[in-house]
Amino acid sequence: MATIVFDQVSKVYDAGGKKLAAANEVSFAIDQGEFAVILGPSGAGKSTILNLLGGMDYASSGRILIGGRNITNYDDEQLADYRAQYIGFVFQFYNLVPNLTALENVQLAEEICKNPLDAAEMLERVGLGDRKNNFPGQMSGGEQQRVSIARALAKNPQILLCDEPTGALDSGTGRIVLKLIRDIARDMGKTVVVVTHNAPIAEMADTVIHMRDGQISEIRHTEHPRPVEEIVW
Amino acid sequence: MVKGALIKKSIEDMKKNRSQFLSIFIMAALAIGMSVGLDTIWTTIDAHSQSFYQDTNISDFWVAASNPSDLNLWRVRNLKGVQKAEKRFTVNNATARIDGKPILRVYAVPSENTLDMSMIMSGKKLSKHGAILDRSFAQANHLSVGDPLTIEVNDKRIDTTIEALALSSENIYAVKDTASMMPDPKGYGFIVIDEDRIASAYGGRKPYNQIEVRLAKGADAAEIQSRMDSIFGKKLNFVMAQTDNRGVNFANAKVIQFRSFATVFPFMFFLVTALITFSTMMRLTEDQRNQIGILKALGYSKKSILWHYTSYGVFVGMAGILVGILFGPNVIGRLLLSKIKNLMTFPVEDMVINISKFLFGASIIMTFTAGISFLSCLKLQNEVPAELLRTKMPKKGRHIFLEHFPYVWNRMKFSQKLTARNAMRNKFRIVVSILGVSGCAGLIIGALALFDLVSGIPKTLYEKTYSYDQKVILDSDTTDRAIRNLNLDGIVQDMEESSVQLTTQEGLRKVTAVSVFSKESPLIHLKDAEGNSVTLPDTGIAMTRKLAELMNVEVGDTVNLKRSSDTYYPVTIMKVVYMPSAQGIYMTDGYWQEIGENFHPTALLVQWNKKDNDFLNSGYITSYTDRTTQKSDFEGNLSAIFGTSLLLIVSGTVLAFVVLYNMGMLNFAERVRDLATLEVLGFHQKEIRPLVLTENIVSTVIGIFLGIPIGKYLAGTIAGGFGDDFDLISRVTPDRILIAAAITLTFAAIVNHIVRKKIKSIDMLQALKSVE
Ligand SMILES: Nc1ncnc2c1ncn2[C@@H]1O[C@H](COP(=O)(O)OP(=O)(O)OP(=O)(O)O)[C@@H](O)[C@H]1O
Ligand SMILES: [Mg+2]
Repeated sequence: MATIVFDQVSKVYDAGGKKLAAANEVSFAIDQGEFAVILGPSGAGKSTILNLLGGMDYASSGRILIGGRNITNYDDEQLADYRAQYIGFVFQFYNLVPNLTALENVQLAEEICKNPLDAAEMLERVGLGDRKNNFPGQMSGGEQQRVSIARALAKNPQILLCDEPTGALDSGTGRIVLKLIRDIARDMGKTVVVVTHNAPIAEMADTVIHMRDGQISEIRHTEHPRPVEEIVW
Repeated sequence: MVKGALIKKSIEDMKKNRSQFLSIFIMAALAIGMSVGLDTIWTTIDAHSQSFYQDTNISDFWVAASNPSDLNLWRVRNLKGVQKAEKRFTVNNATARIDGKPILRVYAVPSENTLDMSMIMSGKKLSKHGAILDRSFAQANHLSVGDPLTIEVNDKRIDTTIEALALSSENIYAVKDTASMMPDPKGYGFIVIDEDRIASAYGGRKPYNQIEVRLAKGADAAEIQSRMDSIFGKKLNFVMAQTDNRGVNFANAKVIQFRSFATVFPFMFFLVTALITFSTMMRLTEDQRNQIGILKALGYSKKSILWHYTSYGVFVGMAGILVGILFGPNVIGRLLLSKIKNLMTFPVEDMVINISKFLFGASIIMTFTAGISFLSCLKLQNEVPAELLRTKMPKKGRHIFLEHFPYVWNRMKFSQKLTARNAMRNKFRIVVSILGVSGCAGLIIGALALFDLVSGIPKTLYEKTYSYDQKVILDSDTTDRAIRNLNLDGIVQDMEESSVQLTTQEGLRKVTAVSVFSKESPLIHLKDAEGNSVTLPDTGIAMTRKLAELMNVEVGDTVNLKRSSDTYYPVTIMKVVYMPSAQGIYMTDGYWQEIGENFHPTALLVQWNKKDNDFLNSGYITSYTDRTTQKSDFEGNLSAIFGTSLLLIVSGTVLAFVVLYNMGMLNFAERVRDLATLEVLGFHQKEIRPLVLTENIVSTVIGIFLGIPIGKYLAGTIAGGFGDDFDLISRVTPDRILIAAAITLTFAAIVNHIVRKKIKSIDMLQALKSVE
């Protein structure tokens, strides 16, 4: 069953009078439980696709079906609900609330979700059980990114979206983070979409969507993605 | 090129932070405008009156004495400290034989006199036969130089020709008697004639009744005044100091009042300017630490970077000062002065700006705006470019005190926890908001209290104290008996109003008004400060509270009273009464006679059953006024102060809005990232709004509470700053506090509404794109 369907989706920006299509009639499908990577050079429109998928922006045209429901018709409030119930987001710059502790950041999920997972337990799973009461400012980038993953997963979302999750980390730390995403998602049966311009990362994906100039240049499926440990970048 | 780039950057920065720079500008302009504007009023009146006094050679005091001899005059002249002494004759009840029979004060002056000269505005100096006429009176009655004018003095006619129109420094506030509050140039004025012309009205003998005395510099006025007794003996009526002249007193009171306003009120504006500049510049430079790093890395010198940031403050401050100095005197000054100037006559029109005070205010503004900008940038100057260029560490979160109480803490919603932590992290901004709001609320409360004070005076006098319909000034020939025979249809109370000289045991002397009437007093209801009725004592006097305070006496003390009789009569203060304006003493007609005076009513108070127009038009009376007219005249008299209070309410309101808007926006700007993060997580608008709004509301409410004592303090200071004639009790009533709170809360609500819209329009993707 395809949980994510993009059907002729366009996003046109009005950049100084000129129309700029950040996504141009993009169509693809990602199945439940799949690990997908959107790959492409800077400016290709990867983040645009991910943001549309995450219900953070409105498409200019086309349909986005999530579990059969068209989210392009949603208003602000419905989109907020959609984000709360379906989506977990991990950003390049973590986006933790600086004035909340690691645990409290994860507990935010409990405030909005119907079936949240236990915040402390999620922190244990990302290996930060002993850093619960630290504030983001007291943690390294990798640790903060792990808190952010714990927060995204604690919402118990169907879809986990990651925009350059390792962009601000060194390769060793990046590897740990990616492995964490991969393993937990597989355990919990989550659909994962990772955006990156880093080609080797794509080797760990079930599906790789190549993008260039707002369009999909190629979609490739692999039966046997490589384990994170074997990837070099 | 390098310079141009920085200037461009300044313009861009200013555009981006326009609402905050606009706020600083408005605050600075208001601070300067208010202080210079309010200052202009008193400096103008002060300068005009002082130069008028000098140009006309006004006396330091006047001795009222019946037919002083040349020997008396000679002895006064020879007193140590007396520079000049001259004699003249004056009466206040001549009538001009023109339409409406207006009253004139006549000065009959020896031609060689040099003191208390009138200032001739048109025509030429007085000849033996001519007259110098009050210019305002002439204009109101359509008289001009060359016209003949006949006056009636002591029931005799004197024919004169108007030779000049003039102003008199003794008559800058030209009201004919104590019952009048508004100058009425059609009905009252002054005229100066030669001493020879008055003789015919007094049986051919030149009468004198006044000695004008000018003191040498540094002379002891009190000491010299006290010698008059021995010089004039029985002839002495009283000594009137320059400050006892109604015009001088009126001008002084305005100077005192507006000096007090100009000191008390602008303080808030200066304070808020400093606070807003501080919070704006702190944030701007903190936001731009990267840019400062880039500028440094590019090789801009420390000096040029410092100047770049300081220049924000310099330009905004200067713009504010410039607009303030234009707007203060020209709008505030002109508006309020025009209300006072209707009441006073000065030879010049131009405004006098208090330059030194302006420079002082301007330098304070510049210190605040430029100094704060400089310091906030200097703080970052000590870091090396690399440090500045590094992505700024997100501010460290910190546990707060409240977390030690898990019972409370664990029950709080995350948004409440977050608000509490944010608040503790941004203590400074919250303190600024609270101070700003309390200043505004205090200012509005103070301004409302000022309004109440001023509107309370005529209310107390003409609604609570007096209950007559009309006050009739009797002709000097009208006897008590004649009035009784008229059998007027209504409640009638006769009274004698006069002035007496009081001397305390300590030697303090004062010429003060005395009112004499019956103990029953059906139409004058004296009260004490608490509003309880006071009846006149059978023996002894009642004194107004302020006069007692000024003379440093209290109930039970004895003062020496002197009027026309040669002796000082010791009278005991039996009661103290409260009068908001017009201080003096009261006694019964019985006691008045006991101390050797004749009871000769000068005024009649009437509450009609049926108004007797025949009586009001009869020869028994010289004039009459309705109580309602007196009340509205009084209000007109204080209109400049009403204007001031309205101005302060309006500007306090502007202040409140600017402060709240700024603080709301600043709080919002600091929270944008948190808000976007929460929004991405799926929080709804109504769940994230409290993060910003709660803080605004809480600091507004705390600010309002702190504003109450500030308002009370302002009200108290203002009440004490009205001068000797006024005895004002400042009362900040709960409804005034409610009004101030409502105004402030309304603005808080408007600002919250704007912030709410801004929260709604947050572009979460943009907000989260990069590290701040
Ligand atoms: N808010 C916007 N307004 C105008 N143009 C935009 C906006 N956001 C993105 N774009 C444009 O859309 C195009 C795609 O942007 P997008 O952020 O999706 O790229 P990307 O593939 O994520 O690049 P990167 O790897 O650098 O993040 C770019 O050319 C960008 O300039
Ligand atoms: Mg991107």
